Amino acid sequence: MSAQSDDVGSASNGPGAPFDPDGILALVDRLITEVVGEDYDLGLDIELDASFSDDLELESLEFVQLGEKLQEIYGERVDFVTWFSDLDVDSIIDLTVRDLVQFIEGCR
Amino acid sequence: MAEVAANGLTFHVQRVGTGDETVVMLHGLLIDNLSSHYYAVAPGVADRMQVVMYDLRGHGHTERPATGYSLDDAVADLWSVLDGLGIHEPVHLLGNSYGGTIALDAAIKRPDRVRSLVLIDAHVAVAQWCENIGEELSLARAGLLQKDPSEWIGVGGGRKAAKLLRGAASLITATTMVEDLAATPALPEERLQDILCPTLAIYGEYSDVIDRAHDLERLLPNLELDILMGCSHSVMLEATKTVREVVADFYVRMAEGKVEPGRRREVEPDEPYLAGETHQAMVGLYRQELLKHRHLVPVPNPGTGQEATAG
Repeated sequence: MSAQSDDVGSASNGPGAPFDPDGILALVDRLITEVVGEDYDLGLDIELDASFSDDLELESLEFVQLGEKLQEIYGERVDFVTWFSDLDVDSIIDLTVRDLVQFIEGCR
Repeated sequence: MAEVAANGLTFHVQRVGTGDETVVMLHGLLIDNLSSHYYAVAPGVADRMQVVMYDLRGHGHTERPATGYSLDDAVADLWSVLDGLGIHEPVHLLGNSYGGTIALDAAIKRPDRVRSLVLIDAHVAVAQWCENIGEELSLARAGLLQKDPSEWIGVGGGRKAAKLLRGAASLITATTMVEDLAATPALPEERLQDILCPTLAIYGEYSDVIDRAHDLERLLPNLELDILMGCSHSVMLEATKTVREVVADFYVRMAEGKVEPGRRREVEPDEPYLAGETHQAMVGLYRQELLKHRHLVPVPNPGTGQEATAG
């Protein structure tokens, strides 16, 4: 018996999704908290210059989840996989919150 | 989180891309998960193919049951995940390391469901691998039961590393993975000769499983082989862009009917090999650490230790 949940591959195009830097940062902050869950109390400090890997210590899968959540909010125009197509793994590992905010701003 | 119920478990699945055909990407053992493909190979093909990635049983965000870690189980999981996604037409399979082992076995068992194979530094379940994987994982388990995993391989207390290591340690110490993989029957060579679909094999020049590239070259009638010069086992990490381009080109040429069976190339990656050297150093430390625990594990016929690096 197998069943597919509704959220596989789904994406909405949320009206009102923020495209201003402060709004995006606040949203990213909230979503990271959701993704990291109980470990958030470890004292993650989500600033623009923080890198996802070294500073925030997001696991690679958690970064995938963050992208998934952003796509649910912004729709297809915020597409991590297309963004990554010009980056090697080292560059992806080095991405900062600022890089992400600027990427989303550019998807407006 | 995208989830699919399959084979009695909940699997973490990610789907990206667009197109009529589907490629399913399978990752390696223990400290690997679908993100390797999400970052490395999927971005190169998502503009023309649908990509399905899932965390193998016990890995990443998929459930970790106590049992069911044989190669047969992994292949059964694959079909069940595809059924759960409603994908019944033949798919392209791409596997890295142990993911390649799964892809090969799937292509042998159900050629009607497999259009093509991409094998990235794949282990092949030859007799030597079956013997060594059991030995190596048994040694790892002995070591893990002696002291904390993060201390064990000298990684600092970072949250990310600790989480990965806890997952790997749990697989080794709290599931039947060691026994299940050790019991893998060796794959007879003639079964490999039965694989007729277009196949691309990519291996690092200095990979510890480079002999498998030569086996595949000898046995698969429709194989293209690319050796990535200067690279070791983790070619997706060491030469991300090159692997991405080589894989994308293979699928484009396949769609155009331009695959060249028997082609063999030596490819010079553009990237520096720092990641590869780091990986080799880590593998060296890992093996040294494993061997410290050899006395704890009865090994009737020790292998060379060169074959079965988990991954």
